[in-house]
Amino acid sequence: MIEDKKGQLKIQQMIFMLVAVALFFIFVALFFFAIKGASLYKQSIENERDKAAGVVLKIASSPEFSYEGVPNGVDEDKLMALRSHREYSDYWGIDGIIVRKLYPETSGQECEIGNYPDCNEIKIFAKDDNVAQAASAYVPLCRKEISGGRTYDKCEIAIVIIQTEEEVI
Amino acid sequence: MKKIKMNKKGFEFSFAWLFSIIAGSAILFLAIFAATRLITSGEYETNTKTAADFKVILDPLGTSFESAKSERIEFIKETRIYLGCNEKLGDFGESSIQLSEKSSFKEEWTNPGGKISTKNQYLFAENIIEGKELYFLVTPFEMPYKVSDVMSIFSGSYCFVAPPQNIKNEIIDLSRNGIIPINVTTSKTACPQNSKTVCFQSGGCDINVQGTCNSRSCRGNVFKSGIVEKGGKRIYYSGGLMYGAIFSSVENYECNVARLMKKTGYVSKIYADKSKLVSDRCNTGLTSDTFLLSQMAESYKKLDDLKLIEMQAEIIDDKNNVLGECNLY
Repeated sequence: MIEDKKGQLKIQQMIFMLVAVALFFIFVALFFFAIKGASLYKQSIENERDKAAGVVLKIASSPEFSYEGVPNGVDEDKLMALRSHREYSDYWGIDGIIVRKLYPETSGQECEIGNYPDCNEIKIFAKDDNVAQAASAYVPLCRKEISGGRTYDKCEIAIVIIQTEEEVI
Repeated sequence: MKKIKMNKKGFEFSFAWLFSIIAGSAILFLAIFAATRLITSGEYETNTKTAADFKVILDPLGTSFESAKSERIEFIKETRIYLGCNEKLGDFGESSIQLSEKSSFKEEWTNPGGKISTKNQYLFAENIIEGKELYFLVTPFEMPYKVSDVMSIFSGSYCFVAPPQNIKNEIIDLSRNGIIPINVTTSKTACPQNSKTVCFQSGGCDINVQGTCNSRSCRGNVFKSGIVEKGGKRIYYSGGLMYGAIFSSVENYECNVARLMKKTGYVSKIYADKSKLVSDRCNTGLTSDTFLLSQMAESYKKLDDLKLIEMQAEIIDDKNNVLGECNLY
């Protein structure tokens, strides 16, 4: 009887040990995957920012933005037309594009068809509030103007702001 | 006869032994299984990350004011790229990239990583390309204004046999400093071995290009539009699509052209809206023409439809060229 009890105790000890070892490995695995997941998330955010930097470098030369005849020039009229094209909100893989006039200074209003061109900011699209400024570039913002019966290119200094998802800490 | 007395005690196989053998082998099996899964998921993760990085690199490769651009990308390991294209997905369709690296332990390709898709790139290439170096030849696609870039990707070397002077100059310029491995020769026999041969206005090569452009808008450039023959199939190309047709598989080409037509439709709508918006400052009179082009591009079904779309693009271009300072593009 005493030997039987000793045997039972040994089996119980072994079971506890095995459960403890299994739990230990489960916790180690969970810890490992939590760290890996966090680093992967960080990397994806960095990747988004790299992409935004790549997009801002080239956006002025994309056909939806470019102004013929002015190097790196952005066409203000095209931007106003682009605002109503919702299909572009997923096209560049970014979360928002805003073009803000810097010089000469104008009233700080968002551009609408009613107040254009006497306005300050053209919001092409902005997906939601959880976005951060990821990249920006200074560009000449140009449009056709008429003066004394002659058409000329009127260019102002503007900044193109690319927004991506904000990092959640 | 002498009776042999048997030892009936034998080997005692206690429960503790049996239990530890079963538990030990279960733990060992689980450990080996987990390690294998970890290595496989690690490879999947690396392949997916590399594909995502690869996509980021593509963004700055587009053309700005250049007529064509070439680039070379070198990988650390031998890499295989699986390119997909779906013209039906979303508003613009998409190109997808999956990547697989050669394993360091065994000389085998690892399982491809996750699909990374891009809506704003038009990647013209064979369905699978592999090598340590990848070459890019980027040309703008204009209809009649720039719509996007045709990004041709290839890995092996090519040999252009007797191309016309403008293509010869362009290729020599783009392959300067050995950026892209394209040789230009006067006969097929002069081509290096293992290179894919591309004949112009003659047959007998792996790929044959026949220029068919003879209208006024071709301005003497017979190869502005034409037919590319490859793998027993004939595909129509126009303008910047020629290199895309040479370097891509037929299905990839057809899919990407369909995507470019969708894009032509949207870009044309923007030009139509712009034309309307500027009409009080600068009346271009092109609103209806650009809107018609956008409708024609939207109803694109097959490569033959390109010819009609091209004709409408030429009408717009002719009208725009006489507008002077008040031009639309």
